[in-house]
Amino acid sequence: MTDDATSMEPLVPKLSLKDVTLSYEGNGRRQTVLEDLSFEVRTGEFVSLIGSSGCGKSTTLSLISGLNMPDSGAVSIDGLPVCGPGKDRSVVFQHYALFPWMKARRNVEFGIRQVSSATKRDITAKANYYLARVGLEGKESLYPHQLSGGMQQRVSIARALAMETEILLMDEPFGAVDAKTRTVLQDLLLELLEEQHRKRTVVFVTHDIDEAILLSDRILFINNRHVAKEVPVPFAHPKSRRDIVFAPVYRELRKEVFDLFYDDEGEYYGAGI
Amino acid sequence: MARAFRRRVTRGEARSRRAPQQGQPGQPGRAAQKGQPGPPGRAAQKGRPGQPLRQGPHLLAWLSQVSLVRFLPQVAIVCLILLLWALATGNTGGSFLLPAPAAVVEVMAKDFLKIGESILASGVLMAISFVLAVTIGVFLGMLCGRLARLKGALLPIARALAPVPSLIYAPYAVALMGDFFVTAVFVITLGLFWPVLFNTVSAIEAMSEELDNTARTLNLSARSSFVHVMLPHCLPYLFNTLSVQVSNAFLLLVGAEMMGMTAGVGWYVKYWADYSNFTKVFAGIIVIAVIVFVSNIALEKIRDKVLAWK
Repeated sequence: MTDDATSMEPLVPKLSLKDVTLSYEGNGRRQTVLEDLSFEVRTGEFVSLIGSSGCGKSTTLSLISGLNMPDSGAVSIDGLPVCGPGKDRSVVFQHYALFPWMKARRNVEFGIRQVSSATKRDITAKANYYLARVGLEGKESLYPHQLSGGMQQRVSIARALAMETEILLMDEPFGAVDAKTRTVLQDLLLELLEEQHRKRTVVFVTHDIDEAILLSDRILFINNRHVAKEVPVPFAHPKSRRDIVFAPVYRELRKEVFDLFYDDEGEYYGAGI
Repeated sequence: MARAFRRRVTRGEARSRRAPQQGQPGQPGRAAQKGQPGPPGRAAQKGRPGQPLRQGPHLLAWLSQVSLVRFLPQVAIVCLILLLWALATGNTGGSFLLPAPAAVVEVMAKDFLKIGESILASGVLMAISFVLAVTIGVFLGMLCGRLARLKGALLPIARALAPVPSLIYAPYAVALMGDFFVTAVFVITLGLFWPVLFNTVSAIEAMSEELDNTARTLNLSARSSFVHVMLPHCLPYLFNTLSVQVSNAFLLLVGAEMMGMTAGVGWYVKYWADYSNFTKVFAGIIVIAVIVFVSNIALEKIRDKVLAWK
């Protein structure tokens, strides 16, 4: 964390979840997914939510995106309550949620058009720019089914970035691509965020410890339906994989986060799933 | 897939459409210098020469490729049927119930004005009915897909009404609207409407949660959601329905044209069957078969064009 990031901190956090509780009706009985979950995210901060499968991290993200409403508690952005999806947030899902009937460029343009009233030409230019930035130059006129899984996810990222929303929500965006592509896409995301001077506030869901350390400023471990542990990641911006992976503190951080997944008896939290 | 690739723009065109690099957030200059981590296949693709666009209609090439090769089995079967037919009638000139092919062709040539008029009349009737059924069915189906309450109220009733043959309503339609053409349109439209409605509803139900969530997080207006998400999503289902319903539509056509019409392929067959002129009945049947065949191909062509993204 740089010093001015803390000193410039406004009174109202960019994003705040306070005592959020959510339960589902499943198999005839009510199942509580989240209980008294609270955390705040500062402007420009990158926060990762980690935890074992089914711990409610994706559900938490769906509350922030406005796809779900909490039973009680409050989700607010800039101090105002969230009451549905909004133009201030864009979401990247694990499974390439592109519209198959739109070419790559159209998919990005369509996203931009929902949040901007720019002219058609400017929108096209912006779509082309972001597609080029995610390494898809020359592939703008292909349909999603003509692209590989990794490329489709690049388009999703390009769309979310091109919308230039203040908040970016990512639900295991690299969970469905192969290991090599994942590394490339992680570096790409890091580079793009640094390039834009960390203007965007990001909430990122993952279960990959290395990914969380590489990308985030803070890691929130979700267990027992709430934030069980908060781990700050003390790397200065601009970050790069090389700086982080070879830093001495990386191993300690990795162990700290790794141990979170095991209880006092050394039993893995997600073992029953 | 291969077809779609062939249709791709040339590399040159793609390059000229590249975004201007100024006025963008971030540092575009740096972006341009920095080597992008690209997928492995990218470097290899870059050096590939531009693929030319499909040039001109190439009508002859198309005819020789598509018509002959593609329809060879069909042509063979039709020839076989004709041969059997000719053998069955021999050189007797055919019988009362089974006229000789030559006699049928002769009738077709003699009666070509009435047949032409009939084709035109039936075509207009079919076109209007298809457009109406598709428009109303898809719109209502998407509405039901979006509004659970409307679906709950409407669909059980629709399912109960759908099995009633639409021809049964014909007398009431004539009494109400007083026009035979409108009645014919009504009968065919209604018959097509049910399958289109039900299939659109199930298309919306089959929409993946991911796609729905994406549409929701993009904060689409109702109109945008209908036009840009739900409608294109329903199109493959619609084309499936229509290709099945083409033959159903012609069954309805014959029934619909029985009432008060003076031209139409269905009317033609029915009219001459009533007069036991089976030569003309045969001519009409052949005309209908050809129309159905051509309609199916046209529908396929339109589908391939509209569903290029599949």
